[in-house]
Amino acid sequence: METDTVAIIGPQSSVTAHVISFVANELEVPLLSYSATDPTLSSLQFPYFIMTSRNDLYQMAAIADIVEYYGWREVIAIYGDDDYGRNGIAALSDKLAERRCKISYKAPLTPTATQQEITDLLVEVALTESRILVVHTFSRWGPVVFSVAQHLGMMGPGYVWIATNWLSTLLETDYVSSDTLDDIQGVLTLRMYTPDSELKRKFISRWSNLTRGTTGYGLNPIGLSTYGLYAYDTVWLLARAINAFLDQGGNISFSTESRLAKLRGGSLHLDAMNIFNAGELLRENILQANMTGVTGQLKFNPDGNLINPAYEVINVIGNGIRKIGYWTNYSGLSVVPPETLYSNPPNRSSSSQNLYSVLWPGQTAQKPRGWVFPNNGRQLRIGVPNRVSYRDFVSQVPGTDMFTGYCIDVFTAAINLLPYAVPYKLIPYGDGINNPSCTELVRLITAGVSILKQNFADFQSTMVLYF
Amino acid sequence: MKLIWVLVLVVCYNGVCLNGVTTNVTTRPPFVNIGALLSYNSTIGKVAKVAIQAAVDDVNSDPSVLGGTKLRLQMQNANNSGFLGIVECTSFIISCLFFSFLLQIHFLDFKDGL
Repeated sequence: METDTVAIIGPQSSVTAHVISFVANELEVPLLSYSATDPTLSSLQFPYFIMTSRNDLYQMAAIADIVEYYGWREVIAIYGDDDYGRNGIAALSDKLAERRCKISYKAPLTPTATQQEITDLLVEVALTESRILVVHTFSRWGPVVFSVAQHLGMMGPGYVWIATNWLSTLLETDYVSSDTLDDIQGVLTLRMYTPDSELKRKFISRWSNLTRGTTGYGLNPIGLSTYGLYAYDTVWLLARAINAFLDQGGNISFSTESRLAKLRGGSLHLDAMNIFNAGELLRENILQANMTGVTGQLKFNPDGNLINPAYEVINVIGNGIRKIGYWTNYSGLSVVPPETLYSNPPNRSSSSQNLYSVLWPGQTAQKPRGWVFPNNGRQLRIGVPNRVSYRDFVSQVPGTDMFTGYCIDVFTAAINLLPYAVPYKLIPYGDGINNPSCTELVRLITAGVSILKQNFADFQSTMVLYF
Repeated sequence: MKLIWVLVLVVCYNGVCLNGVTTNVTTRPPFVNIGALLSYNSTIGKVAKVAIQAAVDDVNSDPSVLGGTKLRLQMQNANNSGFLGIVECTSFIISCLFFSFLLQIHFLDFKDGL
């Protein structure tokens, strides 16, 4: 019995957490995980699973706020198709829907995706309309997505890449090669926000001693990521909870699973399972924690999530990162540190949302529009009057589908100036014997507007006007 | 179901299960066991391993935190691949946890025709 544990720090991955949580429920052993942040783990189904860092629900709300802030509507989600990736993206979908935005295309990959699989997937993605790509995975292929994207020309102007905090974690922990840095220029990523404090500074200055002799990447010692800070605080949180538990006369004792006792003696060795008799009391003490650690104040909301969820919004530029603002559950996007916001009333109005300027992929400061006419979608259909007079303006080349004339020249010159391809088709209207009614053409086009996007419709109206 | 029974055998083979008896401790125990389950070679795990060990050392070197009781840490390496990671853990805790998990599946099997 000497090895029975009263609580477990971890598990690290959300996939393992789902499995172990069933068991923790039965054995009444609390699990305190600083890194399994899949939103579904905080469900009522797993009372003994306690998330001691930030629920991804908030990270997804932050991304949805960023998408809304820049006026984008549709995003593409690239993720590992496991509990962590899938459930995180489901939360993103919910958060986008609250802002009348959506995921237009879900691009799942296996946790062991190869470079070829990533290439095939990104080629598909490039054909679609949205240019806002969210990458959510802790799989090793995360950085490979960007190198493949670079190869395919998808890290250039017009694209927006938002990586969840896996990318900031990688940048904090490992030395990243200059090739990798080249691939991720202009990417936005998030980092769990921990306020500056004496405790945090002290721990950071101890880190190089603690990691002496370790190697992160190459010869560099392991860098301290935010997860390291939360892992450190998780132990302290548990220690304080155990102390409170012992103060209350909590008894560390274990008993065998009585429901299984009748099966004892079989080849399954069911007597191996021990229930922590006072697990419920320890669990309560953990959830009642209120302490200050290296990550700031640790206190749980009634829903089991830590209070004051906040993230830093980061833009990868040059050899490093640039903080362009903060996201808090309290006031959304802001360039003011969260502590300052908490002392004011919450303000989620769109005029109060603010981030510093971003250098987007392709070294451009101009905010990408976020969408293109999809190559795999419908063509822009343009009704062209097949006139018998003023043929210098527009006329059909006899025997072909082609048109010539001043209007066509202006149109093709304009379309060539656009920074993306617009597949279109000119459709003759009229019998070529009499001048067709332009009023009727406009009526037909406007009648069909409901099947076209607003942007298309504006464009088409203009076209018809100068014909 | 076949796969699952094979896994049960793996766990039992590790021979880490203890006899089930009830222990009662009425005073403050000299130590309390806590487990930690992480992937040492992952981006998060290698940082967390150092941080957790440092925290346990800090807690244990400060008698005011637990009134003299010490934390005894059993840290287990699990590789990142979910199921495989669990099976590979030969520790008492995890084997037993996993064991019980399999059992639950087995019961669900009867109950719900999973």
